Amino acid sequence: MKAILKKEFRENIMKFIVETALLSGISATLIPLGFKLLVDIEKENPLISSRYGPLLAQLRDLNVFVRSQWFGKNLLELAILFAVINGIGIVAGEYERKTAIFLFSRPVSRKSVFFGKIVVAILYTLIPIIISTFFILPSVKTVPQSLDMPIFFKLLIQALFASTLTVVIAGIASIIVNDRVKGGLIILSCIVGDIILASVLKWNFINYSLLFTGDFVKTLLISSVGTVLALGLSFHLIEKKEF
Amino acid sequence: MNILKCENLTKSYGNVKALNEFSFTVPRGSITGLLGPNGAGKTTTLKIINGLITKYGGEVEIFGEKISPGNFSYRRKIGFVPEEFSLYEYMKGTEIIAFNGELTGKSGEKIIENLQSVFNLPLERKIATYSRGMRKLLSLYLALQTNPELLVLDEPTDGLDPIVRSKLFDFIFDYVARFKTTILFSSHILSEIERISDRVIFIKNGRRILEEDIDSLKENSALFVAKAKSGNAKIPGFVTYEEKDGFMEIRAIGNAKEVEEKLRDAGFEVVKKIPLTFEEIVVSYTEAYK
Repeated sequence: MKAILKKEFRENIMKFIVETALLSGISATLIPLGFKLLVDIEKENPLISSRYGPLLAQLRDLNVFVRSQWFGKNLLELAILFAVINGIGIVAGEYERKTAIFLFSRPVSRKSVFFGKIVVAILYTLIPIIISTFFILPSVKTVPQSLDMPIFFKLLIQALFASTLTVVIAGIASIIVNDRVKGGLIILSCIVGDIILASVLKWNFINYSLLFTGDFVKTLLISSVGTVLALGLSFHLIEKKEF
Repeated sequence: MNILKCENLTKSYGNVKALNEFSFTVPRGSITGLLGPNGAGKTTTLKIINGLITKYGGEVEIFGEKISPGNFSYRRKIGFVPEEFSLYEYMKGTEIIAFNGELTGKSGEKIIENLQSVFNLPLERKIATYSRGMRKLLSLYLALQTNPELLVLDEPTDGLDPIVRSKLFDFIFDYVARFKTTILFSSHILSEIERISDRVIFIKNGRRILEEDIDSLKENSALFVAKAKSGNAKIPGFVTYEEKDGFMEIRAIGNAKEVEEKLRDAGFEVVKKIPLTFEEIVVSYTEAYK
C-alpha cells in the first residue's frame, strides 16, 4: 500500500501542480477582476444597469458573489473536470500503458492497489480545491466588504465531499472503460447532461451541481453515502476485472 | 507431486473459444514447455494462473490451493514474465526493482547481483531508454527477484538477440539446478522447448493435444511406412495417410509397439520404422488436429 501511494504521488505530481496553479490563478483574480467589473459596470454601461439593476445589486454582495461565481461556477466546473481526470486514470491509465499486467500480477490485493490509487486521486483533487479557495481570502481585503466565514467554510466542505464522490464515480468508469478519453467523456457527458436536464425540468433532487451549493446537511449526506456505495461497487468491479 | 493442476479450463472471448476444457499438470521441479501456434490459448492460460483473468470455467490448483478472485497470496511464490506488457517508463531500472521489492516484500539483492553479473543491464538508466530485449530481461529480473517456487515465462526470448537468448537459457539451467525452481514456459519456437524443457504440453485451438515427457515422446514416436493394397487401419494416436507408388505411407505417432501391432492386424506390411525428430512429431500432431 505504501509503495502504491509513493508511486502514485510521484506519477501524478505534474497533474497536481497544473491543477493547483490553474485553480489558484482563477481564485486569486476572482475578486480583483470579477467583483470590480460588477462595481464598475453601472458607471460604464447605464443600459445594463437599468435592465439588470436588482440582479447586479445582489451580486455586489461579496458573499453572494463568492457563492455563485466561485463555489457555484468556476470551482464547480473545474473541480468536476479535475476529479474526472484524476479518477479516470486509476485503472484505465494502467490498462492503456499496459502496466496493469505488471501491477495486478503482484502478490497484492486488487482492492488495496485500487484503494491506494484512489486515495492519491482524491487527495490530488481536494488539495488544489483547498489551496485555491484560500487564495480568495487575501483579495477580500481589496473590497470594502467581509466574507461570512462559516458559510464560506460550509461551501468549501460541500465542494470537497462532492469532488470526492466525483473522483470515485470516475474510478468506477476507469475500471469499466479501458480508455481514459472515452471514460472521461462518458462521465462528463452524464454529469453535464444531468445538470442541464435537472435545471430545465427544475428537478433539484437529481441536480449534480447542487451537491456543491445546495442544502448543507442534505448534500453532505448524499455525497458521503454516494461515495461509500461507489467505493463498494468499485471494490466489487476491480475483483472481477480482466487484464 | 504437482505444483500446478489445471482442470477443464474454458475461456471464451465473444464467440471465440480461447480455451476448451484444457487440462494439464506441472510436476514440482519440472521444466514444462507450453507449446502451440499463435492464438492457441497459451497466454490466456498463463494469465489465468497469474490471476489476471477472473472469469473462466474449470479449476486451477496451485501449491495445493484452489485459486479464486481475491486470492492473491499464492502469487508470492510465482515469478511471472508476461509476453506483452510495459513497465513504468519514467522509472529507472533500480527504481522498478525497489518498487517490485516493496510490493512483494522481498528485495532479492543477491539474485539481482547474480543477474547483473551475467546480463549487466544499465539499471541506472530510465526504462524509457531500454530496448525491447532489455525490457524483457528486466522483467525476468523482477520475476526472479522474489526467488519464486514457480517461474512462469510467456515467450521469454521474444525480442532477445541470439547471444542474450543463449545466456538466458544457461542462466535458467543454472538457476533451476541451484534453487529447484519449477518452470512453466510458453513458446511457439520448437527448438527452445526441446532445448530447455523436460516435459511438453501441446495446445491447439484451446485444447490439449499432448502432454508428455519429451524423452518418452521421442522414444515412443516413430514414422511407420506401411504398405497395403487398400484398406484403412484404425491406428491409435495420430495418423496421416499418403499414397505413394501403390504404397500407403502412414505417419503414425503414439506408442510405437501398439501402432505396429494395429498396422499388422489391419493387413499392412511395415516397410520402415523411422524415429522422428521433435519437430516432426509436433508437425504430425499439428496436422492431425487441423
